[in-house]
Amino acid sequence: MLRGSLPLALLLVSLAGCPGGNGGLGEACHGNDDCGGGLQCFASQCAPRCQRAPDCGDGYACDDNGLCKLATGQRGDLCSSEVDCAPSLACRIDGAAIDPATHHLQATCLEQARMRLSGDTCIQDSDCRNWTCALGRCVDLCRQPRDCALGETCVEIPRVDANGALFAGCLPTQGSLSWSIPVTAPAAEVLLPVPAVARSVELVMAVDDPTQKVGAQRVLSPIGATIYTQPCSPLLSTADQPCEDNDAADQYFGNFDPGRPDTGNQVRHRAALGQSVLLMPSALTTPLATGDYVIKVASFRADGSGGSAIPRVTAVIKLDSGATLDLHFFFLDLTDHPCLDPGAVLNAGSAVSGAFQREYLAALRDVFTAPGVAIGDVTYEDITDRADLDGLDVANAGALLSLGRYATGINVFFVRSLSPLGIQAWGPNPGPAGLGGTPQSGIAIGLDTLCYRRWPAVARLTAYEIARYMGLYHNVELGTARHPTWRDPISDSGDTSSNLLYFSAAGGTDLSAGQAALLLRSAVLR
Amino acid sequence: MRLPWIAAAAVLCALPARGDPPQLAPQVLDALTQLDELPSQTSLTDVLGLLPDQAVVPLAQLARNADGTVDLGVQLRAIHALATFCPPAPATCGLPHDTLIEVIHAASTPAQTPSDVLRLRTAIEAIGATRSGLDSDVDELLPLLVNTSRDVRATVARALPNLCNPQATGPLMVAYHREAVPQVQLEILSALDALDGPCAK
Repeated sequence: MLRGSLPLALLLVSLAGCPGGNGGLGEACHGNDDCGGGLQCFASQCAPRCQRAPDCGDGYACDDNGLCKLATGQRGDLCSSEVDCAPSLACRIDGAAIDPATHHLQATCLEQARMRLSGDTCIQDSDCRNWTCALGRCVDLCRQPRDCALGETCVEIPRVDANGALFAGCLPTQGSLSWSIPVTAPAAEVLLPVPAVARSVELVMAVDDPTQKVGAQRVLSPIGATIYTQPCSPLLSTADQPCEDNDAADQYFGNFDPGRPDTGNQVRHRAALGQSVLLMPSALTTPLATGDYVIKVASFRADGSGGSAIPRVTAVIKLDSGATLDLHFFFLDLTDHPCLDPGAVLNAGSAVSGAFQREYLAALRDVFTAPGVAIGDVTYEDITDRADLDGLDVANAGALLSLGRYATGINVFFVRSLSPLGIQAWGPNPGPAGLGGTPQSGIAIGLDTLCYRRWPAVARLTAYEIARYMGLYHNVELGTARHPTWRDPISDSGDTSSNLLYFSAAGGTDLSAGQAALLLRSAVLR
Repeated sequence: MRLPWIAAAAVLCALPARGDPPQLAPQVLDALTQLDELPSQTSLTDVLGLLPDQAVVPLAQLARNADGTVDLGVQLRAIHALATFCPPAPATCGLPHDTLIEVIHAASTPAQTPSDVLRLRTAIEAIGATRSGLDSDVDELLPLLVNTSRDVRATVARALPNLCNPQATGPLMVAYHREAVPQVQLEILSALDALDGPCAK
């Protein structure tokens, strides 16, 4: 740990020529008793007491009284926190050995490595000064939050290189983390470490060949239970392994009966052309577990057989309970749209006032207020150089949604029309929350709807698509009468059309407590 | 031939009684108002409780309705759904195809309303989706390349390559040189590429 605001503060005070006396800030001292209230004697000068170890600099701990304590751990000594090791040493995880006292991975003080500091991005341990690369970032070991920098806390993190054994490390208290997981073959197992504070976790899988599908084939929980198996493919149906369309649908919708956790899929996921997202949890009855999830990722041909494309995999973990939804509106060329009032204009300039604000954005805000989501930043931009996307064929939606560059919040694109006509909105379910610029980074709303619905209905439509992006599913499907399991995995969402996730224009804006709780876990929110 | 009409009447009450909104069974209404998906032939026959040749009758009635008593959102999906009942070319597609042509004629009036534009575009798109390849279908669509609505012109340009009929190439090239709206120009170029590429092979 190198950061330290306290030594810098002392230096500045000294340079300013502080006259000293009565134990004031920057005055000479021999012990803490020489300094006034709220100060400590640090490096022979009175200095502010610390709140966090990094306030003191490399090789110090911050004790319960706010006093910086020089670490005594020498090379080869056991440690459990970065603050145990003397300056220029780092507390480094020692293979897979477990400390019987803490049940965490054992660690030892060793020389610091390269210059990447705690919190910097990394690919491997040797990238980090403290020898620990986890969740795509350099992580300091810790025993308590005070060992970590302000804005971080001390949490249990599974160590991929040690079969998911846990260590305690410093992670941010706010926001999301995303990192790439290397894959070198068309089908491969990846380990997804889920720390104790994770609210939700997603794996975004992509291939460059748009004619191939990509997705997860199997997911094992940290305790080794199979919680997801890819639904069968009717195109690969055989006498030994028959698979009709309804079989594939049954398997996709899964069995989310918490009373039978060992049967059926506990996670909803489907491979898709070009990119797909695996989001967990699918329901709070199957909560996330701390540890390594083992996920077999693969590319597939259109018929479901093995593909040749090598997947690119990105993990995203939401760490906090932030409930602010940013909205980023993009307007294609809507000039002279027949469904706008005569003479009306809808673009980034006009949307900041008028009906768009009064009737649309206000209604959208109302929908999300009920589950506790506040609308945060709202931005407006025109897209004037993509005439090919003005009337969007949903088969080409990736070209539009890739323009959604905002990683937090939702990118909402207003297009003249969606094709096939009759479709009113389009978006991934779920979407790559926390990632911008992917072929699924947003939703599209067709303005044709305004020929037969008013703005509040367009707002409900937008809210529905946003909720799907964030990981909610139709509360019931069209075929539920014949197929009772074709419904969402949330036990209290019910069958009613008053629900926001009802699949038709007859739907309402209600969300059940279970749906709201899941919505609030999305990495879309900040 | 009488049976399908009787069955349809049982499903769609009050259609087409002018002035009275038709009462659709809730599951039919749901199927025809899905937000981000169009109903498949299977789902429609399921909710209508009819065989395919019977189910097409009420859908055609919904598509033809011109007095505004059918919700436009429902009507658009019904128009589109007709194409799903057409067998692959070169087999002929009777009622669904005839209805789509009828909708095109009815909606392409000189004083077309915004609703007419949407009905017209949906029928154009559905004709393309039948992939009939018929000269007569191309002849129906080509005049619409000069429609006053840029959205109609763009839809025609997108539908024509689905018919894979080289008869469309010349008029599309003429339309390209006349066209001032970039969106439509790009659709026409894309159509010409398709007619020259996948269709030509």
